[in-house]
Amino acid sequence: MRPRTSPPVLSRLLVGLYPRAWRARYGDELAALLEEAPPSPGVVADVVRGALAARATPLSLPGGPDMTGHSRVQALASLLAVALVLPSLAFLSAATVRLMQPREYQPARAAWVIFDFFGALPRELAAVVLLAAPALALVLGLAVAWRRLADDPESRTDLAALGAAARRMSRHPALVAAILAALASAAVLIFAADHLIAG
Amino acid sequence: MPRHPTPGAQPPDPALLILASLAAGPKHGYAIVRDVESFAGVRLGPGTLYGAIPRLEAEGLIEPLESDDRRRPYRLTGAGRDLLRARLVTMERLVGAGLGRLAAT
Repeated sequence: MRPRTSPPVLSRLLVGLYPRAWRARYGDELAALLEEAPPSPGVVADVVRGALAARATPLSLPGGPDMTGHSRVQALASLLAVALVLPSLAFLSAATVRLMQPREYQPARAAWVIFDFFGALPRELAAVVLLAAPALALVLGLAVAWRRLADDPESRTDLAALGAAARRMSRHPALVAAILAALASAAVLIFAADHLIAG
Repeated sequence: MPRHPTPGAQPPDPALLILASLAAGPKHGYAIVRDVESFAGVRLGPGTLYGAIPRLEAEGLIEPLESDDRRRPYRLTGAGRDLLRARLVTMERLVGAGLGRLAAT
């Protein structure tokens, strides 16, 4: 057996552009091929194009779950869920931000415009946009997540790792408090800077 | 990629080039690139090669062989051999007819 060597940085970066399932199966082979000859700009462009194609059309790998049709449907359902929830998210954000500053300052002024726009919608349309669409997005989102977890062992492993990380964090409340304080401080500073700049 | 030496000519289908290369025996990625370059004058880029290999493998036209190396070799399956033969016969007919008509005009 040949000793394994760490691939050069560029090869590793290029291989990293491919989807994880693809890398798990072909990543080592592609890295080995890239190491055979120094990557030229043409080779880099070719690999980037290949990685984009691999992300756009996931393949069903032999011995693996059939990802072709499911992935496309799941991607479309995810996009639809995001599109459905965005208007209500914009409305809620605007409703919150408009109360944080006098109306003449940005972003409160823009928030009032968005809030007034939704306020002027007919009652039935507002019910569809603000209630029915998020409800459908919730159903779609849960369905996609459920299906993905059922189909993909790697996603289940990732979720379990996320849960384990959350449990570990919960044993260090001081660390959690420090992170939350830092995030809140950053938000406050951004808001204050925006207020000062806007004038 | 793939690069072809004849300006204006459409580069051959990478999948067909890979099948033709493996018809001579199992090869890993770099050996396929070199072989295709030698018999077709086309240099397959790594992204092009590894765009075609998973497709061919998923379609059962090629299969990987066990390897201790990161450079995993592939070989043609029976279905791959049949498909390659059918495609080449079709191309041969086309080439014969096309060249014959060019010679007659």
